[in-house]
Amino acid sequence: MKYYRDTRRGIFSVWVVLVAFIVCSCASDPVIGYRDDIEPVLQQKCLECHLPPEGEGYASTGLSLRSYDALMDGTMFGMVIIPGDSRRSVLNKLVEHRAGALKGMPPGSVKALTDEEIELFRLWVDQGAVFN
Amino acid sequence: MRRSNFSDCGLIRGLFSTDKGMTAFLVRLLCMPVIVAALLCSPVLLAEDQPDTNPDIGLDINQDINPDISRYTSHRERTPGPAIPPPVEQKPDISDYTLHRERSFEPDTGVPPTIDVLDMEVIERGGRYQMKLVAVIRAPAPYVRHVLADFQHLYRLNPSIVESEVLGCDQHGFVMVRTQALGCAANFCEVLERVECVHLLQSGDIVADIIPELSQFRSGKSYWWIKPVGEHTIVGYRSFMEPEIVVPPVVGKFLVKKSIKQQMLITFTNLEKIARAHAARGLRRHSHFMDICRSPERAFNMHCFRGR
Repeated sequence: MKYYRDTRRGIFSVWVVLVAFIVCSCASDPVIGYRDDIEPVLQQKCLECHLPPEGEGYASTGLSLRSYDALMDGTMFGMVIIPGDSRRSVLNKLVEHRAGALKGMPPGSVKALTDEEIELFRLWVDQGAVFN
Repeated sequence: MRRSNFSDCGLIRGLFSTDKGMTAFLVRLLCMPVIVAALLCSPVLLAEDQPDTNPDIGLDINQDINPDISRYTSHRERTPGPAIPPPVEQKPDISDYTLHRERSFEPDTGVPPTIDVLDMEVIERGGRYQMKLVAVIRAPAPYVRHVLADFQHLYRLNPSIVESEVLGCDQHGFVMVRTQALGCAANFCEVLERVECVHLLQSGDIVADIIPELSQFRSGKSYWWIKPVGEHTIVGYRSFMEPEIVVPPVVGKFLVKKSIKQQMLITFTNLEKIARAHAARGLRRHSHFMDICRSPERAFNMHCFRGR
């Protein structure tokens, strides 16, 4: 009888943990929109350098941030965004300063991204980097 | 015997009969609501006793009752209805999704493998992985060497390098590089950190030694050799590594070896792409070593000199 009660308690605990996990995972991340959340940041802090044809960042890497399509085309060296995978995306590596202090984007501290903006980029890429 | 109003209904008439005593009458009385309900719900039963109210429509039974519908049909054909525009195929605007989907089909590298692999091998023995890949890179050798020595842009070579940093360097051509690589076997991923002393040899080849104290590897050494062949380059990579991870036997090791092969191909593919991009733009510098060492405060860690 005791064994039965313990088993039932164990199953109940696992069930509670599972439900809590599902609720937390579903409720945690807001949906990030490209037009509302990402594009304004890009225009404000990145476009100056990544605006073809004379932007410094565009000239050195070929990355244009004038539109969503241009962003998804990436640089001459490859894509900068892997939809659904912010850890492997170059854009996230650079804005999170994961490629060394010298290679962080944007360069300098004047237009540095805030933690909230970095988090926006991370969530947007993890959510598929869609044009929404 | 009392005759009810339902005189035409034999069943109901029998219900009210008292011929078989008081008990039978009570039973019938109790059953009566049920029977009434059944009668109300079944108009067919009632209809049996209803007079035929269908009017005489003068239908001759000898007449062929199959109606001649030709006139209706022809009439319908002759008189076109109101002009109904043909259904216009409403194409949903899927450009947003299409764009995303097309891109997401691309592999992690973003480019299909185009390199010509001459030799590839991955061997595991006692937790120690030996790997070899020789391939033709369609780019001139100086640009290939430039890309391999560009430690500040290592993240371009492989998306799995999730972190990279140049820790220090010295005037002898040693550079200390820290990388974090995301290694995945099936759906199981683990970040492995390693710190390497990279040395550019006089021949132009590159040697990298893992510093075990600062890495999640017990040992490891890599060797890149670069041989120009006309406008192209044959690049060889030979390495052994002993990661500090527990890999399940058989299937786990098979998956790890498969993943290593895949990552090597991705690295070589990106190496070609980046080298070609540099070549197209004429960016030609042989080494980034001195560029990295421009800051004297970045003292070189003596780990790289130990045992040399």
